[in-house]
Amino acid sequence: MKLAQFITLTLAYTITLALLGVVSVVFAFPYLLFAMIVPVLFAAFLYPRRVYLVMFCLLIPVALAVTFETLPRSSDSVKATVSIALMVLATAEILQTSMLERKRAEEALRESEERYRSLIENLPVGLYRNTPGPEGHFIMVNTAAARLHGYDSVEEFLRTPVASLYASPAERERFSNRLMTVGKVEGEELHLRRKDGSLFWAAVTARVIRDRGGSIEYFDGVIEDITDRKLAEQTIAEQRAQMANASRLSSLGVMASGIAHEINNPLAVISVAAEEMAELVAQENPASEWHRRIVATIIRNVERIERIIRGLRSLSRDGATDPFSMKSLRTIVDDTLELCRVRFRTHGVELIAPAEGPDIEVECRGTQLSQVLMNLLNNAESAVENLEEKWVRVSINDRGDTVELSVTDSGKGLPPVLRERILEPFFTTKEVGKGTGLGLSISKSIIERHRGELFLDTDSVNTRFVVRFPKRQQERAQGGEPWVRR
Amino acid sequence: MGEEIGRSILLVDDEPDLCEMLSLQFTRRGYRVLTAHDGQRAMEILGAEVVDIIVTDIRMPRFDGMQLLDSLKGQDPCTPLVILISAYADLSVAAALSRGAEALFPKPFRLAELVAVIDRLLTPAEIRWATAPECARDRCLEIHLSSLEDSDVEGILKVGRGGFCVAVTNPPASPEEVVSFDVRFEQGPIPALRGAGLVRWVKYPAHGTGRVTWGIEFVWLDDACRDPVIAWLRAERPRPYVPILTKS
Repeated sequence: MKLAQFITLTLAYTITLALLGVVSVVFAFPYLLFAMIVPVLFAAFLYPRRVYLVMFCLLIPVALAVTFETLPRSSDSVKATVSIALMVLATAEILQTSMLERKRAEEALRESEERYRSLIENLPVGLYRNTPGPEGHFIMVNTAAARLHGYDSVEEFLRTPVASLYASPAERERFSNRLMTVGKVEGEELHLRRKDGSLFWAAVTARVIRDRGGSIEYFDGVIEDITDRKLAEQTIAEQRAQMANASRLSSLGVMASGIAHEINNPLAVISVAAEEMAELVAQENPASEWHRRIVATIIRNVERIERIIRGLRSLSRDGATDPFSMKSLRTIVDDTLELCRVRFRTHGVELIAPAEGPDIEVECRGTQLSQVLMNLLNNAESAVENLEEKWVRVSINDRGDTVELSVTDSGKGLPPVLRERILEPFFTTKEVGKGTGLGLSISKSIIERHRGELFLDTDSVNTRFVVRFPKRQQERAQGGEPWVRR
Repeated sequence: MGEEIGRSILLVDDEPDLCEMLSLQFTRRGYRVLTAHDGQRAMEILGAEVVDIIVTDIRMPRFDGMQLLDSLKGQDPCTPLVILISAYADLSVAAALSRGAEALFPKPFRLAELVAVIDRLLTPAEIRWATAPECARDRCLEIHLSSLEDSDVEGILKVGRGGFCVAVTNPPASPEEVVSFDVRFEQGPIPALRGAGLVRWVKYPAHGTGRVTWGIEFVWLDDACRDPVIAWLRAERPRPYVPILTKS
């Protein structure tokens, strides 16, 4: 009911009354309006939003009262009947219009609601509203949010506690604390959990909704699955790190070969001089055991320096494009161990070399194998550095067609939560700046290229990483070739 | 210790200490020792003296060991034996042996090994290749080829003055492994190449496909083929010690 309708109606009644000859138009209009003033003010006070409806309700009795009051004076009853009928018709018309309008408004409201609902439902990003606190639960979610988390229905998802969707409860706590302090977060990258327990990366933008009292009522947010992007980013970063690693190695390689030359020359002099001395000692004083031992010590240590240089030179190359060739596993292991012996000793970690045994020839990229072993040794050393009991053991295990190289340290294994992730790129337990988290994942891919596997032995009491790969990379054709085995 | 009376050895290295130490050793063994600290000086000595063996470093100022090696080519028949010593790993054994050197020793090396190799190389081929090695060898190379000349062309086998290289498709052997071989030729100057040899180098194909080639140094040649092979090698133009296959 609007003001225009009200005025129209009032005018209609006025004309009716005038036609009936009850009053003059000039008088009836102000009279009706005036008669309404008190009730209108009253209605406006009581029902501010429905004032015109109330006024209309009051108008009818007033108009009728005026009509019936003056009717006996009218001579023409037909005229009166028509007038009243007109009045009723006008009223009915107005009422109907008003009802239609309301209906239309309701319809529009429903449509608008439907539009919003379908917008929210069909958005490919997850939307949610949940309550804060450790017991937080969802109040509203859209289908995308439920699907993102691997739930078939919104209803099922609504029953799930919010905290259980995070990789760890601590992460949820950290996130909601931040949200409560700042009021809103944008594009926060979180590790969330699906219904089946698997993890995925999500970007969450959320804000805090407060009630009138200022206390937090809800968290409203948008979740987007960014796992693919994250993986792509990881791949790019991994490649970049590998490239950086390769270029670092190549500059190191240039330096190492320079150093090797510088050291190998004087070393050759020492070595030849020591052998010369050995011959002289044997000739001149055959009984001098001490002299022999001294010379033997010099020669032994020359050989040790040789191994260090060989290891350094081998490690500082990239080696990814080297052809596979037959290498002595023992030599690779010994050279690598020699390189880190000092570091282990400095940190008081005992380094236990593999037991003496027959050497095993393996077809491999020697440099890369040495890099993998070095990486495992470094990890092991860092892991036990601060323990009471400090040792790292390397062992070689011949398994027929395959060979197993393992690095065991005095640590008591890894907690289950680390086990899953330890081989992931960028996963690191080291402090910021100490590790890139790429070592193990690069090592793993190197061993996979050797058709082998690198894994954590979960049955071992101590932390034990195992590298297992075939001794031969490919079976070469036998028949019809120049080669015959006898 | 064999006394090598009358033999002369030229030591070339820019490390005077190394020359001095080696000189001490070879003098005691009865060699006439000449020393030079660069390639230029070595060439001068070679122009004036008859030298049986040259032990030379590769990287030296001015005139390096490889240039020295190259300049010796064609100085037949009294080309000295050349042993390269190097502190770098930039020259492969295959390259050294195919460019005219008899052996390559990375620094630091064992003096005893150097002396043993020189002793062996100075032994005439008739004696040097007459003793079968003791160690068991389970790998055997058996090839039947039409003729030695043809096989060169085919890129399967190439014989040098101290060994041969061969393309194989076998399980890989390692350098320093002793293998036996039996190569028969249907025609040509020598009927067969039978004996045992030391694998000096193994070359893998660059991209993982293709043939593996081996460089084998003769250790022993059986009685039937030893003399024909030696006679054939002497009659031929100078050959590298162990050649490499140009196409494989």
